[in-house]
Amino acid sequence: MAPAVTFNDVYKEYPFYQHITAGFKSFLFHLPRSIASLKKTKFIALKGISFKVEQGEVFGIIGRNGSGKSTILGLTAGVMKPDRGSVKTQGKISSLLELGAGFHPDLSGIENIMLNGILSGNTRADMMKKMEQIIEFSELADFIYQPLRTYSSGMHARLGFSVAVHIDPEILLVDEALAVGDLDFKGKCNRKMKEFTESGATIIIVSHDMPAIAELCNRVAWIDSGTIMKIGEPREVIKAYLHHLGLEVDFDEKKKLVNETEGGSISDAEGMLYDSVDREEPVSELPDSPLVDMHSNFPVKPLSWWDSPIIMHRCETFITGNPGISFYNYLKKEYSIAGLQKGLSICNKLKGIEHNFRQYNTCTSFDIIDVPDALDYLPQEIRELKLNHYDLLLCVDVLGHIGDLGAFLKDAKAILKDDGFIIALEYIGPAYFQWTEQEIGVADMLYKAFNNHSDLSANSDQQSANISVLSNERNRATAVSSETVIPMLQKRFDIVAVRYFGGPLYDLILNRILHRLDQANEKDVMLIKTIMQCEQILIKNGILKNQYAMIIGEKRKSHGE
Amino acid sequence: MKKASLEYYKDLVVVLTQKELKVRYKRSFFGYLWSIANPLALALVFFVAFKIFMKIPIENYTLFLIAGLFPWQWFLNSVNSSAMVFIGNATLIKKMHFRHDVLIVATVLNDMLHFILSIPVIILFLFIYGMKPSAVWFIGIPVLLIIQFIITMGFSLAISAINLFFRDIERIVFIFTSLMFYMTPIIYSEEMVPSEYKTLILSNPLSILLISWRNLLMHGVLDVKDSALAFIYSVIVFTIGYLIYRRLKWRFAEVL
Repeated sequence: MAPAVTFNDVYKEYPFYQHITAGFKSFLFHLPRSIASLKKTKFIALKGISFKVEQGEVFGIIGRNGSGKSTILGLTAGVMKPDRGSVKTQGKISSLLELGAGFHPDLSGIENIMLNGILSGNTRADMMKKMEQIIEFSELADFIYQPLRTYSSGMHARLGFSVAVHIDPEILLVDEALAVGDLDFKGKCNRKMKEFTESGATIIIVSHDMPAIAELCNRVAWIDSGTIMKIGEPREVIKAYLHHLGLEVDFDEKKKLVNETEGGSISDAEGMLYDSVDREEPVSELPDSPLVDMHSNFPVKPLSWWDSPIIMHRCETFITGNPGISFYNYLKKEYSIAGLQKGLSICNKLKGIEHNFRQYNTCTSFDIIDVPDALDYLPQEIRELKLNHYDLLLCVDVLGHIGDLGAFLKDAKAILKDDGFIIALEYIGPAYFQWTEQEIGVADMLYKAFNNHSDLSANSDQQSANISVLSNERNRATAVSSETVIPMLQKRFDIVAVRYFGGPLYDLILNRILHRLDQANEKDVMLIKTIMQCEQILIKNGILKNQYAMIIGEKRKSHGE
Repeated sequence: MKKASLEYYKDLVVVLTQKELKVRYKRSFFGYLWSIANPLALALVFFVAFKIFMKIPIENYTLFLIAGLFPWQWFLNSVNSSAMVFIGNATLIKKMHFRHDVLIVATVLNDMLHFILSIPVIILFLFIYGMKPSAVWFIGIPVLLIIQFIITMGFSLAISAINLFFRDIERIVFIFTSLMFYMTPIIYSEEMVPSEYKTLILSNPLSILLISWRNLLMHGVLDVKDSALAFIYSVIVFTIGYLIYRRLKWRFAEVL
């Protein structure tokens, strides 16, 4: 059986086309220099890469941003040609490269299904037959008749995935697109992908989600600066990659370890930027205890909380009210929360805040429950933990999602030691979440202004009109009304502090454009800062109602319930 | 795209043409009427300027204008919109592997469709001037449609591909088409051109074609020699256009 994909000494470079797109005139006037510079200034994306993906394999590609992962997918999909070497593929390819790939914003869902299907090599008759299945799988219901520009990013992803898997591709290319779907749909996608490989199809996945890669893939390649650093057994490769980033993982022992080698440099290793404001130094001696998700047994990635270090810093500054004082030192000074021993962290996708807690010696060790996989049985899970055991319970964006919050908090209280704390970073807006007119108005205005005045991607204008539509469609995924979070906490804990750190603009704007922003680009950093500043000013003035806040609670000593 | 059956390409072109139609008139109320309104308005302007004010010695001048302006409009629309075709379909091109030239085929076909739908307007004017459509149309129209399709494809392919690399082409095309319009016997007849400029005018690859359209639509005449010449022109233009396109197409996903 021929391999599904064969890369043979593939070499790919991109000239810097800006020289030409800058204009015909300037190109012509400096013709010799232009041509010379074209030849000289090029970016080498792949430097002679060879590998094979056998049919029926699930092949993962990992590596830092800009290492050449997407180029490999592009070459496999056939939208680009290698400069040297050859790329051979065997079978029908479906690409699930990015959000909105292969869709036209002005056409309805149905029309886009047809268009996308035809473009990936199906006849109309084929597509007619599959139409019903695709629509059903996508769960878009009546939205299927609406133009795509009214879709949320989650709906986009759902439609994309539905089409991709229903046209029976022999090779499926996946580029992190699944990250946007909700939990239910993610599960559905994972099941479908399993079905897929069982039927002999080949899947190539590019992702930063190491646990997912380790779980799904048979083989993984780690790419760095256009060369394959390591290829083979997933855990081996991931281990090598994380080691390269300065993290140690030992998959072989039952107990998995993550050690940070040099405290503060981890985020830099990921190519991120911190605010240039002077900050107090973290405590450098780190306890060597592991940070591992209790549920999946995977090491927790040391990312900063809230998606990006810039946002993190702004949120922290908003909480502390002083850019010179770090969040953690603030906790220490204001609330004497420092030097705690045992922490339990329950977080919703935002992993890594625990690392900071450790660096600043706020709490030296953590047990971690990563909720996306465990939301349903979280209440049971917490019941199984040792009573009177923890000094700190840290919750990030989970309380609002738990069905029976009262019961959960009762158990949460039970596992805390008598002088234990709860720190919750949660949405605390009004019940039955809905954007207020004012919020949508402000978001709309800012979003449009930014789209006009920044060079966010070229297709941003097609989304610019959508804030209000999206916000109407988007009800928060919470089952419980979120307003109950604080009153519920109050029943079991003494609320020490409620400090705001964000609100609707974050949700309405930043969430939507964050993936398009470059955290290393000064202009984009300014953009993030400006949005967050606006938000914070508006929150202070009481204009924005839907807010996020840090809530600190102390376990109530009295046993009166 | 290994198994490229004829049925598949037919479907591809049909779906893409439908898409073009839908996208173009998505939020407009009068839709297709606009494609007639524009050449008719132009005809009115030229009629007033040249017939009434400048007393151009051409009989049935309105009809004369329309018989040239409608096919010209097809060419103009296709060529002008071709500059943006690949840019407008960037999400498709970057992410999916298919023959990108079908996007141009769809655009040109779409404008051709509009031209065909405007033929009844020409017939209406024929009757107004006491004339009738001729049976020669049944052969003549398909022949000229094919020739014009090929030549328009040639221009569109080249422009669409180059515009990805030199965005200025968009503006250049605008100037180029306006110049070309006056270099083509549409508002005047070829007989009025002084003999020393005749070669210049006739070397314009569109001239023969538009003269043929006018002769066919107004007089029901299809000159075999003219058609053959127009066909040769169209094949040359198409070949050049296609070669340019082919040379550049592998870079599309990179520049977009």
